[in-house]
Amino acid sequence: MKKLIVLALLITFVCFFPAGQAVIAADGVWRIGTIFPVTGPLSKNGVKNFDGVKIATKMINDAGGVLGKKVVLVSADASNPEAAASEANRLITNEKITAIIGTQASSLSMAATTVAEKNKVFYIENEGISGLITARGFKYIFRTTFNSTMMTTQMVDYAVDVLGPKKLNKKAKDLRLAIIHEDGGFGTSSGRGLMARAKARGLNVVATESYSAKSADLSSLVLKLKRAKPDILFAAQYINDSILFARQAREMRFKPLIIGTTAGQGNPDFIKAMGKDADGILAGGIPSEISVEGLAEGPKKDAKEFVRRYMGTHNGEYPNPTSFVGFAGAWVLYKFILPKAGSLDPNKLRAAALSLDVPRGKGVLNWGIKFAGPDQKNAGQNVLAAAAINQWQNGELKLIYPKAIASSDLK
Amino acid sequence: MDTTLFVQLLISGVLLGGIYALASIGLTFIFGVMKIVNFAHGEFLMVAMYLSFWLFHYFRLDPYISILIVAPLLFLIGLLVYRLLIKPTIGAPVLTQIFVTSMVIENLALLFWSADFRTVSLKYLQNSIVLGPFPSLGLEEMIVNPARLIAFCIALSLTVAFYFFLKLSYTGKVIRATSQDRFTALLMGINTDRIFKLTFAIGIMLTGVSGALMIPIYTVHPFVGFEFILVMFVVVVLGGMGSVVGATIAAIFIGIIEVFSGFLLGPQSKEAIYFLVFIAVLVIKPSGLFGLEREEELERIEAID
Repeated sequence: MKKLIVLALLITFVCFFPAGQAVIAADGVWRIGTIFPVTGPLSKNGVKNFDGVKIATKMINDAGGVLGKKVVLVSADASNPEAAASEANRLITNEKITAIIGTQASSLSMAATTVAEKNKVFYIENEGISGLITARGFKYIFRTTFNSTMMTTQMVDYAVDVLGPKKLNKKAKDLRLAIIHEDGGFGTSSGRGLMARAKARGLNVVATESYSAKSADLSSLVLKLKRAKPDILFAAQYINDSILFARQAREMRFKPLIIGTTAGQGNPDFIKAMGKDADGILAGGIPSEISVEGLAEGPKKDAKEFVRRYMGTHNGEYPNPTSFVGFAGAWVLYKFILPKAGSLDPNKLRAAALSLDVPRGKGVLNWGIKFAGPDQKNAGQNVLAAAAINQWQNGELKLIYPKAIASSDLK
Repeated sequence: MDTTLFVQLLISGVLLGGIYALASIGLTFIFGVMKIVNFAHGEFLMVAMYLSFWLFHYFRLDPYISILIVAPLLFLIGLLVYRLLIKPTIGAPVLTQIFVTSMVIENLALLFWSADFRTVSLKYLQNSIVLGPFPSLGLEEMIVNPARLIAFCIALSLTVAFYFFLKLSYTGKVIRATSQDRFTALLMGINTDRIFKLTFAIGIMLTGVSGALMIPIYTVHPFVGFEFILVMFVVVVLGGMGSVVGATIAAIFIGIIEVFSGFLLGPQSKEAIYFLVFIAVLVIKPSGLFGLEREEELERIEAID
């Protein structure tokens, strides 16, 4: 009897599964692939990013779709680089997908983009910021968000030109700086960027340390740093290790000025864990708020609509920074690239993407859209994307830099 | 390196060892008696941490009090898992089932509790204890974290209590007999199935105690078990695969090595260092620091005969 049931189930499955696929593959819709870590250790931000993509998709479909056709997402889950590569392969070979949005994390992106490029499939990276992704001269890979060099350069400059002078009354050259980073793709490329900028400006870096984000203890790191007596500490960390580090630093009474990133210190879970002790900590990276002031009518309406819908589906919570970049990646494809290409042919999409030159204020969020060409060093990078600096002030993550879009001053 | 720093590193290392001991005590016990490698141990720890988190979140129950609820609950979970999963496969390779269980628990946690990172912040634990200065010893101020100190003390007391429980109580003796030779124990009229059930449940219950003690120190998320599982196994093997006292000493040893190598050689190398030590110990003494050599074990069994 049991065997019969299993057999019946199998037959049902075999009969109906391809039929279901045929419906999806039918003409009249744009089928876009997505690869995000919605399970596994990276899923915290992966889900939030994917939420941004889903809301963008719903918004465009409610407005009549793109060129009269609705967008349908074909989703894949990738919790590690191996899965990212195999899922990219599956989307391309089995699902016949020719345009992909992904992946939230640099390590996953490196794997997925390699597969996409090999198969000549158009790919939008919306959050993996490692410089390596666009350093390979790939033709079909486009990154809508800023890269780690843009972020780290801004972090170093802001720290020594504004933060140090204002809070410690010290000139850039007199400041003692320390850099720590987790040893994965994101941390390593950010750490390198921070060091390169500090070196280029001839600053005094007193300690540089890397560690595994899976560490169960960071007391040796804290003690080591405490000995180096830095004024300002740069930290490229993920959320879990940023909380562990902040707690152990508090235990050991190590209190430098900290400038982290939105991947770690800027995460809402950080404030839940640290409470009052988070106040004053800075986080470079994604802007924590959309400043609608400087935007043209269209983008302003889109941004407000996105925030409204996000809050509607997330118990009134303001969008997580990672949802903003998720939205931005999808929106650039739906609103700017796809209408211009008029087809999901990767070569047409690519030509359309390269032809874009949208100034700030008219693009998406506070970014313009202009991708570096294949002959340039960072092929496929949106050069008009920009990183920002945020700060925890009374339990809220406030956007404090660049000045043009800031909602508060440094406190 | 000055003396103050040395002592401070030592304190941090010993306290970290206490946490590792807490995390692996149940695993050691289960392995020692049942010879089962419980790959899902980290996940049980995760469940225990979540339970104390939710008790704190909804009922403002102090994690140190919630031990009284979490530990018995984990005991029951242990009984249930034993009945459903372990018992039918005793004697057969049980590895796959346990491995799958760990994945199932992990993904259920992800489904029900999401991938958020959750913390319990206890106001009274945030101020560190300051030792010193002791000018006569040439020592300046040193810092001890109260939550870690409590965890360490309970880890030590648990180890001592466990030692005497196994040594002196009737149940303890029966457990030891079963672990030494299951067949002979059966001949002596010991209900080994009952002993296995009890052992497994006690082992899981111990993670309940650990989870409640660790929640004031660590953030809980569905993959937290993963952060500890590797060091747990190192501790169990170094400690002599099944010796609870050995595991505690090994845990402190690993804690000290980790903190000192992290400080002297950089945090990125600390795992490499304790694995090197681990391999070195196994080459010199394959049965772990406190394990009995095969011959010794046989001799002892003969002596008992």
